[in-house]
Amino acid sequence: MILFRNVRKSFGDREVLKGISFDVPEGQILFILGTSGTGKSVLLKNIVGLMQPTSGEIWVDGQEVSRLPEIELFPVRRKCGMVFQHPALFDSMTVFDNIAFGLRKHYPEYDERQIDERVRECLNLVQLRATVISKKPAEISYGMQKRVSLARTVAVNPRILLFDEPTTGLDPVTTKAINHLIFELSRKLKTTSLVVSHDMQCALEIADHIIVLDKGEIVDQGSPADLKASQHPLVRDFLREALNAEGA
Amino acid sequence: MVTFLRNLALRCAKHRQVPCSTHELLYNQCVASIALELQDLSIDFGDGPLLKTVNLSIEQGESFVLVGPSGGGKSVVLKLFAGLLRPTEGRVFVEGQDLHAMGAKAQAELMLKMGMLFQKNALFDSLTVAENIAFPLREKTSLDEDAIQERITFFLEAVGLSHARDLYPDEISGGMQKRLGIARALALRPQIVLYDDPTAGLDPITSRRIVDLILQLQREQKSTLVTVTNDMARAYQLADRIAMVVDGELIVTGDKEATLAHPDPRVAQFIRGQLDGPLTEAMA
Repeated sequence: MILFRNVRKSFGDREVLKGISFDVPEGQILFILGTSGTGKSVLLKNIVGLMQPTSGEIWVDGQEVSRLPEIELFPVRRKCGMVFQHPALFDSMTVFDNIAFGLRKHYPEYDERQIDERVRECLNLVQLRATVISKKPAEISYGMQKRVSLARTVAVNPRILLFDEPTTGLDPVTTKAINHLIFELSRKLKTTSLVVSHDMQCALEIADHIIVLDKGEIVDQGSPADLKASQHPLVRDFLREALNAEGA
Repeated sequence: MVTFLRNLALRCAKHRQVPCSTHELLYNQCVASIALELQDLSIDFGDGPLLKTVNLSIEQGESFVLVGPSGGGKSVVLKLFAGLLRPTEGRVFVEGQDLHAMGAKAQAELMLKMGMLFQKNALFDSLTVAENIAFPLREKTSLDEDAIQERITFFLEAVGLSHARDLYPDEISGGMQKRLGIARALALRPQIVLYDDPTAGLDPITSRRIVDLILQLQREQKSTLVTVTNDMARAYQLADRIAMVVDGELIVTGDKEATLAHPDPRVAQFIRGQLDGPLTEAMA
């Protein structure tokens, strides 16, 4: 469970987050939608202590994390799996070693057989065939690289998944495939998932709850059905663009 | 038709050692309206052809959009037009001239008519916004300093960046960097503009505004556009005609309505982002 309580964040005299409060209940998928530069990524970084809020509180599984010293942040970061917009794989390593990397670090008690088992299990979770195991990232498609980066993230059993624009820049088929995967993984692993995105269509398809952020403030929120009926001009703009993509 | 006439004209010229005036005239009239052309073009980077015997004509003043799975060869088409890649077979024509049958100097001159926006903008980090626009003007034109400043001011205003004139690329947002890339590509007033994913990574609302700007500048300059995008909302907003590049083919699907009604199952699946169909993610 994640709680934000009146979180503010300023850079110099520019306030990027202007008093944000919301809850992500255990096991839910929350989408945060907004235009570029509206503070979505800043919000994610505050959860894992890569940035600290200027004021307000952030709770992760019952612990207030916004002012923890670096050393006490490690267990929080262990709990949170972060999936970046770009796959950020190690080019020089095989798919196997990319997924095994975090396992070897966080599970020193695992022998090679257990690591091998876990890597295959995770490949299966992201619906990749075992034949990709010995390939380098450059030898597989971009969509497959995104799946490998997801497998690497879930390998170490995070309870919370944080996605930073997971479908931005993908073609329509890959967008749909990755979005479905986010849904299936979150449900199967029972993670709490927070997705920062500007794809309304993806949000409507898989979110339990959607928050719309504009200029550092929450301007609307609700279930996908609530949002579809919203009269807020920015939400209407996002809905219209989702329809335009369908050729409406 | 163009290809037929061109071949006819070439054959006549070959047989008689002099150009056949009737065919030449017909051909020239027809070709005059064609800005860009690929003729029986194949390209192969060593692991099988990426494009196989592709033919395409883009008319002057047309806005043409290329969509298709990543890695399928959309950007390769742009780079072929820009002379950055050489076809393995076939020919590339820019304003009726065979790009690879002319000298380097003539090619460089022809390239001045063309502007290209790269996917990652490729801005000069160490130059200010204004200096980024000035760079190609100083390198490629004989404009004096006053004229250069005038043109910088005009294009910064057109893309809404007047206030950012003296900032560096890393001091402005991603959307502003895109607009700067567009301004720099257009500052030489190219007759042909190639856009490689002009709205990549931007939210749909900013994206719509950038495409509005691209279209407005196209109307003012009466230029020809070729745009690569993955975003169907932008493709429909931009295109007079759309083509999908897939499996080594270039399928011209037509305008928005024709594209939506296109019978090829790969097109139908792609534009709607359906999971079931002939396209697999390995292609995407």
